[in-house]
Amino acid sequence: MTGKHSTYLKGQNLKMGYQHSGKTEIILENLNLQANASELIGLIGRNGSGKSTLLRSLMGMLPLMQGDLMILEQAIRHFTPKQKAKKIAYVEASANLPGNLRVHEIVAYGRYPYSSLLWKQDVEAKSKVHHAMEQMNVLHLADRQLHQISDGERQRCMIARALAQDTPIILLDEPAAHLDIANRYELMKMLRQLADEQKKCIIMSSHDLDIMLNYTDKLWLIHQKNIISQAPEDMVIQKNIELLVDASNLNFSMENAKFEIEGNSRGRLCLKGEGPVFQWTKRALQRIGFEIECNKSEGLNVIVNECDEVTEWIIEYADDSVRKAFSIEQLVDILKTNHYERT
Amino acid sequence: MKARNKHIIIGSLLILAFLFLAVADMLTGSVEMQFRDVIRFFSGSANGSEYWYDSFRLFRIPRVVTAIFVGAGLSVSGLLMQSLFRNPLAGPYILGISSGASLGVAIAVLGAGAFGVGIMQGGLSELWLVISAATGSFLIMLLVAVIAIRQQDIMTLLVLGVLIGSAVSAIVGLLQYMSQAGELKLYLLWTMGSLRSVSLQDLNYLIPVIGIGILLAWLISGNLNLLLLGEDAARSLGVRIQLTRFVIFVSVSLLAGGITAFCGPIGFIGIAVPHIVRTIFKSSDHRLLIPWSIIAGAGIMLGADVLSNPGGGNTILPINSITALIGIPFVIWLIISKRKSFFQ
Repeated sequence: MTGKHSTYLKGQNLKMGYQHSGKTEIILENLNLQANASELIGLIGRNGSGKSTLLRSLMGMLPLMQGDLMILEQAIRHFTPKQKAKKIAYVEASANLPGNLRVHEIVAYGRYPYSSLLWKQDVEAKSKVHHAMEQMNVLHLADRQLHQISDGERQRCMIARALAQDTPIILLDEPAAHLDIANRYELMKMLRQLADEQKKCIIMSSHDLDIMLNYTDKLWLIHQKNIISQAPEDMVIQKNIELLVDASNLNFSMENAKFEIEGNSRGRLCLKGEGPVFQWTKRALQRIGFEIECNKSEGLNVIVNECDEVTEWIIEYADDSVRKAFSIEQLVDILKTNHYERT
Repeated sequence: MKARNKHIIIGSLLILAFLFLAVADMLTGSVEMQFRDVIRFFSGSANGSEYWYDSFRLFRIPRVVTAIFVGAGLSVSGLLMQSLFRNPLAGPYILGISSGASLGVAIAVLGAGAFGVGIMQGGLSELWLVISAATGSFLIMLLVAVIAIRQQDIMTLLVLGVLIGSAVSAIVGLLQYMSQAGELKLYLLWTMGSLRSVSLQDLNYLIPVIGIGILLAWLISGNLNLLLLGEDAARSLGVRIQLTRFVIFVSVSLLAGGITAFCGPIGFIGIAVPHIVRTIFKSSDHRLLIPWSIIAGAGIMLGADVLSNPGGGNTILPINSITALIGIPFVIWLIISKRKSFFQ
């Protein structure tokens, strides 16, 4: 989708920051960005790098210091607050909300930009609110009060509000922050669907690199007051992802798609086997500092042997002595002890 | 919808209680009269020659109407402040309105004596009290408003209100120290609050002032709901925050300022009533909270007025003590129970 109409958000030469009592603090400058329909964009960066500033500036809560932002080819500065609220929805990081608000009330507040002075809800509004709750799977909680639901449900409720707002663009500031693993993946699946099926452009910030690499179309990495915009895979291949850390002992492992701490090496060993057990054994051995390498092995072999519901790990030493382990914990234990004995 | 039926039942009970208290308050007073006299008065079949007629028309009706409007106005202004500051302990006086009024009255009553100006030969008239209270609260409100425009953080305002209150108490303390016994009593009587100082003519001012204040609150009820989500969220939904804040300020100034000018600072109604309504309706929708705060606030004020005149004799207890004795236990319960369903 590279057509003209699919560009939802575009900004050139933007400058963002704060101004308090005469002092200006520039957080981001010379910023060029573009976000398109059906894109799920992940905003990553170190603490304090300006993720929230970027989202708040896109939202118009912080005035842009330079440049203009175009939403669907219209300059944002010409919008009234309500007009803008029909284009961009925003869910803040962690709102401190009165616990007696009901889920359906909060979702219905998403219809505010479309309301008249006294706030009568028409049939269309009601069906949009209903649909939004349905999509985020909070319909069964409609009459519950906020203090009666879990963090995950609460986050889904806030996103349902943004959906009821019926905007092409949705900004989410750390939507996954307080969620457990199941809720986190559930949420990402829902966001993915919204982008794919409803052509929404979703920009979300997160520190969870795993979900960002797996679910987003594009990553915006904030680095030195600017953003690098790339597909997550390009970001990895070109090693831009390593800009997230400056520590030299942290490296991004392309193989394992995660950052790994460089520790002391225990030397090489050759691992033989297949399937998931093999993979997990490999992880464990790498974790304790072995390089898995069969050509230049120093004679240390580990063989994963899966037979008849019993899995055993056979350790062959260079001097042909053999030991057996029946769990990875045991295996690691034996290798560690021997490693110290032999060095 | 079950919730709606529940609301209808609770609402009808509240209205019944309100009507009962209104009639009870009309029957309270040193001149004894019967329920049927009240009916006859309102149906127009009573004539001016009956022994209770004048005192009912000139004193009781203004007092009952004042109680209704004062209770309603204080409750709505308390609700506005609680929603604006998202703080359960905010009340109508948090912006320094009562401090300002106290200062105005203190300067007029005590200052006159202390500095030997003697502008009030033969005692202060009621009108002077109203004017000085209104001037004082207006000036302090103006000061707070000027700071509010420059100050983005709403919590700073809250602290500011408390500090201004302390500063004013200090000045008033000095004035009290320097003043004569008679003036001191006059000032103290004003601080105790009174619904009885409002005459039939005064209602011509009090009713429109409170009416406009409540109307403004009603017009922004939708925005008030969104303010509960927090400023950022409200802004992202298209609420004009500054405008909303301004309307809230104007409304609260009219409500609390007007009431304080005429009746003195009447405490705790503004803090307690919004919580009572929130609790019994289990809602934070201002389109529901505003009308029911009006009914509940008016009812409680009527009840307090009945209690302030025990047995209908000549003893009149200060209304401020009554509302405090009703309100404080409630506020204590509020703090201790730290109810999760309110603002956390």
